[in-house]
Amino acid sequence: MGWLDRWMGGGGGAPRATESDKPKNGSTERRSLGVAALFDGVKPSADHAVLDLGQAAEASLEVYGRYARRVRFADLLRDERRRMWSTALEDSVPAQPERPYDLILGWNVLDRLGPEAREPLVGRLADRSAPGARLHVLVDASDATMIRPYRFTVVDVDRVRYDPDGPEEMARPRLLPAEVERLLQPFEVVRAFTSQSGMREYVGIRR
Amino acid sequence: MWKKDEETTQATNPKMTDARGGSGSTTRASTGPARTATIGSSITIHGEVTGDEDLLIQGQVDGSVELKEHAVTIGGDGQVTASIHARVVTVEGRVDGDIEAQEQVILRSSSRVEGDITAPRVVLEDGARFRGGVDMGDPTKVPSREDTSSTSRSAKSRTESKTTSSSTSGSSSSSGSKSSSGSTKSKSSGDSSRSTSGTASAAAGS
Repeated sequence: MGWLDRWMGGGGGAPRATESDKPKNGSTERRSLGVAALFDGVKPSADHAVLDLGQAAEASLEVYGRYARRVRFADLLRDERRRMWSTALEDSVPAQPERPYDLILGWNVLDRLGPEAREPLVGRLADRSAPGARLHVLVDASDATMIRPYRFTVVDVDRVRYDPDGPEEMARPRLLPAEVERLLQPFEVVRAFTSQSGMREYVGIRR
Repeated sequence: MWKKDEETTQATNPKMTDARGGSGSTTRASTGPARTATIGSSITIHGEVTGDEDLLIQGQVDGSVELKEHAVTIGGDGQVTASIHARVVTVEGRVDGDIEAQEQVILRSSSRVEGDITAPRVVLEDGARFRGGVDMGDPTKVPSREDTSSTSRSAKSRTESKTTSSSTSGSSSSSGSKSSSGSTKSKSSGDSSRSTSGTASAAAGS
């Protein structure tokens, strides 16, 4: 029996993978302590607004819809290489005239963006959120020289699906925890977790 | 100049029964209470589209689409740069503009949408690309997933049954219930042989 069969729980005493853990077209689902911390204690409110810097997905929308009336999917990295950074930022994170964001899911944009774009992005997020707003970001903490871009879907308040999104890329220099905290200066990092996959999750609260 | 008299109905024309309106004509169903108008793939409309029946857009619309009591489908070939206001909006093509639906918005896997969506239910199929905001109403009153998916399924079957039963009109024509302010152009038929400008409107056909 091959490793895949064993992994899928096909025999012997191997732990049986749950349905949601089985990879589908290269995607995987993982428990996310960071996302759980982001939503922890948040009460549904018609006044809440969520900003997801990643791609839109129905499952994410369903989870966000439990807490908030307004959700914005910025799809920030779409066409990123073909657009001026300032234009991309304006297109993706425009002013939210009705209400500032309360929950922000930044995913791994800090890893994917060049150093010159990181601070303007965090500054924009701070401008568009109110004190007490919560921010979640992922940073690759592994030693890999190549990283695979993913798109992320929140499938439950503590589970995230990773879907491969394009070919592997050269990893940028690693962001160390102190550097991440400095970048996220407008937000106070209150929780941080490192997963077995080598991703480090940060949860910050807008000062 | 488009005139209502120009409208012809060919209920059975094997070449013109493409539910997606690939013929490049603007069509409508001729029988039954469920009518769907089609803006064919070679039609470009600049201005306001309003009416009193369902609409399938396979062409290009720049301006606004106001069919508050009806379903609007932007087909796979459709390109809309406009605000859309309808009861149900289904997107398979491309929309740059805001969408407001009284019941639900469905973004199919082939859709590309940039703009804000306001609807109590939003369906995002895998593969759909959407950038913008979603306003779903009060989260303490969100319908269950079962309600949402059953509504989605019924909306899909309703749209399919309507489009496949549509008859088509032969040459340049417009739905009897649709009015368009602005200009309408047929890209496939030369510069101006099928163009109208100004305002064209007609009462609801039956």
